[in-house]
Amino acid sequence: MSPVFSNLLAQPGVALAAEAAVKIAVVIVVLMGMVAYTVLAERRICALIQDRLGPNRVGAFGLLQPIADSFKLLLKENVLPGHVNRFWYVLAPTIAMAPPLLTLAVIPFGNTLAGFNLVIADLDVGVLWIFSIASLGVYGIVLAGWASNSKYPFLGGMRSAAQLISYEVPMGLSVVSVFLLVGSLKLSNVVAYQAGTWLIFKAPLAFLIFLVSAFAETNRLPFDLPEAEQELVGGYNTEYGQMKFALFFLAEYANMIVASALIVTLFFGGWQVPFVRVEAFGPILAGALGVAAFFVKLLAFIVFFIWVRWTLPRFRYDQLMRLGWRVLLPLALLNIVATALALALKLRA
Amino acid sequence: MIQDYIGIGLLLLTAIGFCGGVLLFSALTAQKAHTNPAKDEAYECGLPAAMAEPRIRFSVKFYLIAVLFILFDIETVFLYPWAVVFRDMIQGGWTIFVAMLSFLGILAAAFVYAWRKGALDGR
Amino acid sequence: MIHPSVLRLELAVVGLMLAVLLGDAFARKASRRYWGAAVAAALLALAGYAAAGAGILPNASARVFTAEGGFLVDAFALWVKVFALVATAVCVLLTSRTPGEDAPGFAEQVVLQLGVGLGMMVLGSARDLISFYVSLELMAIGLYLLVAWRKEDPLSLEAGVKYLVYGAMASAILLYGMALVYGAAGSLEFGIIRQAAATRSDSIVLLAGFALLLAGLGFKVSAVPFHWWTPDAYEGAPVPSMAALSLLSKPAGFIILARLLFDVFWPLHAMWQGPVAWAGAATLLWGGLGGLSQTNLKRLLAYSGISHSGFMLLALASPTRSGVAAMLYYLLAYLLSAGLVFTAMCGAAGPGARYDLRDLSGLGRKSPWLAGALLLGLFGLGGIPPLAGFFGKLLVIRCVVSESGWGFAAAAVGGAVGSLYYYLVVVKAALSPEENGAPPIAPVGRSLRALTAALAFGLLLVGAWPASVWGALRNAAEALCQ
Repeated sequence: MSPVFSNLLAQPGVALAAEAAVKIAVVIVVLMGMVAYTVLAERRICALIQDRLGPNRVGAFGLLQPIADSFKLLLKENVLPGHVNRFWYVLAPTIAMAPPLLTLAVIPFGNTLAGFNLVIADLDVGVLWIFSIASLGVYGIVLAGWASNSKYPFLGGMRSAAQLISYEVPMGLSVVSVFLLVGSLKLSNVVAYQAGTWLIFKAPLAFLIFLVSAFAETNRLPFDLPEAEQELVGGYNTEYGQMKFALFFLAEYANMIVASALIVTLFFGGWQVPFVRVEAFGPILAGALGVAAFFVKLLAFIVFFIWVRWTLPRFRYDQLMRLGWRVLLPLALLNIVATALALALKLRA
Repeated sequence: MIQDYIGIGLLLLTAIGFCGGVLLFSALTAQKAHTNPAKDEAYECGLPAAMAEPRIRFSVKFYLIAVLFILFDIETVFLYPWAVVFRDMIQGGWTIFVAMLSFLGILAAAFVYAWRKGALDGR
Repeated sequence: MIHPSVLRLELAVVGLMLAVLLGDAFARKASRRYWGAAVAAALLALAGYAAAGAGILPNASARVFTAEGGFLVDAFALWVKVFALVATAVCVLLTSRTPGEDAPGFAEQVVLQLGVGLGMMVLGSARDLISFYVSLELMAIGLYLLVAWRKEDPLSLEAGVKYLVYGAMASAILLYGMALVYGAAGSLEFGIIRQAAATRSDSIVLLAGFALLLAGLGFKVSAVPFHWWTPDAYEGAPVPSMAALSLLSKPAGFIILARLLFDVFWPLHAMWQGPVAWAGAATLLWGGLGGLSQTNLKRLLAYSGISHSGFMLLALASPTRSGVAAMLYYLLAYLLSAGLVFTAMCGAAGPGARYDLRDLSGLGRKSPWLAGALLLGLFGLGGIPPLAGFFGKLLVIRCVVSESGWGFAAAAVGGAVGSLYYYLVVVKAALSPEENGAPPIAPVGRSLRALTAALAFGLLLVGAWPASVWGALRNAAEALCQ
């Protein structure tokens, strides 16, 4: 290593930035790979549930299918329809894609490995960061619906916005009981708190509300009204094609992965390995086991998301709104009061 | 800590770079668009595109939902710091519990009112 | 720490608001006939409790703080609470006459008026810039809605938009002034700002902030040159909302103005006395002369309100305890006489009436009761002895003569004569024989009769026997000027 370079690296800020850059590169690559193969998994599992074969021609078991798909999208005709508002039309998919990437910053995907914290930025306000950034995603969708200047995308965008903001409230309220128990908004603290018992056992109602809201927030069935194919064609992305469409598509799957990661972190112990004292295996192996545990849980949730999609029918719009505002919201509020009361009684006993 | 935001800043640049890069790269690799008048029209399931103005008026219920969202989202924002300090402050007395209970109670009254007035129907 | 027992009056009003809101959500239509009267009775009971000290103040010169020093209860604040509760009761009773208990939006209107009253109660106790601003906004937000309440009437919407835009601008000016004052004093607390005003009276930042605060409040009290919104907002607003504007919002402006001038910025009194006196004289003349050509009762009352603001500003321009006491007495007289006029207006026409002067023709024959109330209220506003308005004007002019000089006193008398002339025009219109097209009037209900009788009795009592309230007002002024 040249002395200039090592001197540069010795500056505290530069070293931190280099560390962060490496983590970001790894996280983005892993995420994109997961998105690609989640799409394949979705198609194969769907086929399995519907007693079909699914894509199995490109590569062994269809494993090269995502790559073929991405090449296809890259080579498609680059249409910019004449009736759209060009600037916003191109901006919308970018705004939809950026939030899931940014929320990943605070999710710890492991404890420590070779002395490095396995999280890009362990903010004190981790969960606030996630909610604030995730709520930006709705702008991409509304903007896409509006900029398309066409009826189906417009209706899809409006529905989508109403749905996203309706379920953001119970989602945000449900985690309050988690923070009552943990006493911190920092996600690494939340994971550390679950060393003994996972939070799903201490706050089951919060988990249930969070799970349902997560389905709604990611526009997955049974809450996929914004893109209800039978009535709205493709919803907000009807007028999109080529990579601009692909970005929306990627964003949806990235959102699903981030939601799964968040559920795992908040309620299923994050990278904690159950029943085994991993410290006994030495720091390297313990760290690797933690990462492995995180990914196993994450994959389980992704499969769960897919499974639900191909099992349940779609809600009607008024049912969706009723569930969000009249069931989940009061439940979440009651849950907060009950948790606070129980905690107060326990701490003051 | 401010150092934590180095990673955030880099990630922000990466995210913007990724999206922008994908769009730029695809613009280079894509076929040139072969436009024709039909392709330039809005998608209308085969009906003539001039059937109606796309930016239609829509139900005021959407605004109601948006206003309610603001109300409860701000409530959530107030609850977060409360939840974080709850463990420490409950040792000193019930004030913190009662304070939040009254805040939630007032909001719950507003919620019940909105419910009874049909603001939550969503149609 | 916050001691809820110090806030008991405010908490009671919050409870009342919640009760009306939830009652509206669940109660049947038929059960609402007595809501207005019930709420008003509760408010008056609270006012009585507050007048007796509310169990908070052990004696007239005591000061009780809470909310980290941001909330103060003293004799002045208690008097403000009494005033706010009574004025809110009047507004609620007027609301229950127009649009009527069974009309949609009745309960909401009552809730908003209670909120405006609550804002004034907190404002009287404001002891730092935060509670000052929050309570002022609590009033303003309710009023924005109340002014534009008749949303099918373009005039009401126009009034609402004008009030909203002017109000938002005034609020921004006020906030900017607060920011400068905070920057100069280094604290939000009134006590520390007062020290800063005493020690650093040459600070440009502090003075600029103070000037901006005065400008922002000038909007609330519709002082010249911030008065332009007043006639339009009054003309479009429904009568109960107009009552809330002039019986709650404007007095609240004077209350906080008195707190700022006589307490927080008292060290600068040599500096503010002149500008306040000039603004008062200009406001008085504008109101007294501008109303002369009006043919619409609501616009005319707006100009009358401007001229009364001028009187009260002149009272504040005399930096003595008598000045404050005179202002408080004038406010009380204004509440009683303007309340009578509004009551008569509510009785004389249905909702949506324009209140052109010729619509009043034949009122004396159709309803002597309402015509009498209108007459009494207008004479009270004009300052005919022995009504309270006369004594109020006398007190103010005495202060002006001794502190500001004969020129200002002449302006005051001139403005008073001008406004007296246009009150008489209204009286003439009401007593003239009926013209074609004058609207029929509904029979006057019991609650409105009771309100008229109570206000008229108060107007006579306070005017003929000022000593009945003078002690309390004097105590409030003493508490303010410490």
